[in-house]
Amino acid sequence: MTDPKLELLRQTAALARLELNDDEARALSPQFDAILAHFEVLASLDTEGVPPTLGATDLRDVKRPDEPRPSGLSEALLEGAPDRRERYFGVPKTLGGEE
Amino acid sequence: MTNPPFDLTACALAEAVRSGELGALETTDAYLARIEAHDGALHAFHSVDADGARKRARELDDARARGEAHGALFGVPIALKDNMCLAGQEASCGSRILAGYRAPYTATFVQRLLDAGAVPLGMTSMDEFAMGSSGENSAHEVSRNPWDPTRTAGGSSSGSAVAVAADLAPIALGSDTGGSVRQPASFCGVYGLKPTYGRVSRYGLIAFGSSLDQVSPFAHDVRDLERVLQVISGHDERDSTSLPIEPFEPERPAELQSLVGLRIGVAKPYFDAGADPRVREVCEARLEVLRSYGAELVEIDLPHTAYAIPTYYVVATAEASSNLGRYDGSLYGARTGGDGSLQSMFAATRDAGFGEEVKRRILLGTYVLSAGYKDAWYNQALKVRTLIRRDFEAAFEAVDLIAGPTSPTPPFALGERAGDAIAMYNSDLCTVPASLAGLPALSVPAGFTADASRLPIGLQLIGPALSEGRLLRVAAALAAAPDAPPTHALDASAGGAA
Repeated sequence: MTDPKLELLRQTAALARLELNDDEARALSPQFDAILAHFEVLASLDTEGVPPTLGATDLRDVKRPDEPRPSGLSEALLEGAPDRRERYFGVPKTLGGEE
Repeated sequence: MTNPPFDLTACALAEAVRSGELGALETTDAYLARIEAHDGALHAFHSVDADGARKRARELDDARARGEAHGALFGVPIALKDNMCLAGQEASCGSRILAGYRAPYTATFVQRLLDAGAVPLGMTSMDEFAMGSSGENSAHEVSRNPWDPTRTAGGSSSGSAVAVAADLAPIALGSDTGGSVRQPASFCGVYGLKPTYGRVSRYGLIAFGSSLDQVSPFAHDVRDLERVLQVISGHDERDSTSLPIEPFEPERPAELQSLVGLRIGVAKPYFDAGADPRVREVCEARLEVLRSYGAELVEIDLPHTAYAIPTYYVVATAEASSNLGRYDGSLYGARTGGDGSLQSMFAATRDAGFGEEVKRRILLGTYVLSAGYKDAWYNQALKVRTLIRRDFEAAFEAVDLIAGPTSPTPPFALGERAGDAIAMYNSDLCTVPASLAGLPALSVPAGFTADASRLPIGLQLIGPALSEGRLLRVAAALAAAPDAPPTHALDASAGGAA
């Protein structure tokens, strides 16, 4: 039988692109529960009509002129690539060969 | 007894190098030698760029010989946190996933330091991706508190705080998301200033919680903090959260020790919520000094303080889960193969690259943002964040600034809270509210516990947005008090002058 809590943790890990084997999930599950229980106090506050704060400034829609300019960074960025192939970043095949 | 350059403030050091009294190379070499002597025990630095620092110092000496000794930090060595970009230098963020990663460009705030003549010595130890309050979440080395090496230096900017407290650098930068500069400043007995959100560009600071992160200086001296903030602040078009305002200008009151007319709110919930009696005693003594200078002390309530820790950890982990999505082995950092498919490479890379606390926070953040849970957790936290902001707005109707402890406890022992995530999160109780509200906050060295342990305690000053000048002015008044505590850990613990 699947433990729904472990199942939820595994689903969350999949969304977060983290591997979580059964042992890790079992070890993490009680910590996760304890942290969420500690945070549950948030639900007790009546926030009806309170607007959300998304950022700490009132700046909105900050833009700069859309003018192309060289970054001068291409070579330095490619140098940091785990698998550089000339002027490209190499990754495993993205289409086919996968479920 | 004098011991240049270590007993000079950064401002005095810049003046001494500009005038030729001290050489830039001589100064840099002195700090490098001190790092060599002490850092094996303290682990303030993750990497030291001795060659780069000497090369830069020589260039400054040459510039001076040509009569071009300009710059507010001319010849002043500085330590940078390991999540800051200086082109060509490693920025590992305390993580295996970025071990060996070299920054392709220089952060705006680092470039401004270079333009002012500063000499970067190296990158300092930190909790992985700035997630932690003790430095113990580093994948590399764990900093030690120079006042008592069995204790934590605080975190996440552990190494930068230690570097300043132990005089391995006269000034340092950290980043403060929920207290990551103020708390280690408190634990290490030095000053740490988190500026108003938007005051300092974050272009080139590796992101953790983007609505909270702020580049923040450490120093021994209030004037040095002012100087660094002057240099690194001001608008930057490369950071969309950078406020469109001029660089910071310090306040210069006619009388340093007169605070007549200033109303200071004493943050009752920061004292009530489990503050160690030793912390309370030291902070209250500093408040009495402020009262003796003419400030009026008023107790204030900040009613939503009890919700600040959950609010902060929901918001910060949600933002972190998004920001850390980019570490998947494709474009930079470490890659672990997996079974040959793209998805398995992502998962294997992240599994091997991230430490336990980072994984825990990514999972929490992913959970509070996931379909079915987002309203109850993330959206609710954003609304409570508004209530916390409003607490401060209401308080600042009645007072000019707010004071309380920086940390509920003195520095705790290494290992003491390492296995207990909730106890570690609760260490941030007094620092996260100002972060959520985007307000400037300063940890001032307040004194030492009266018991035999003699551990440093910090007093936190919080002001309205863009009131750094006021906070620093009050800190300068405290620093001028006859019983202001020493801030140089190694010399003081060795019984006075070095």
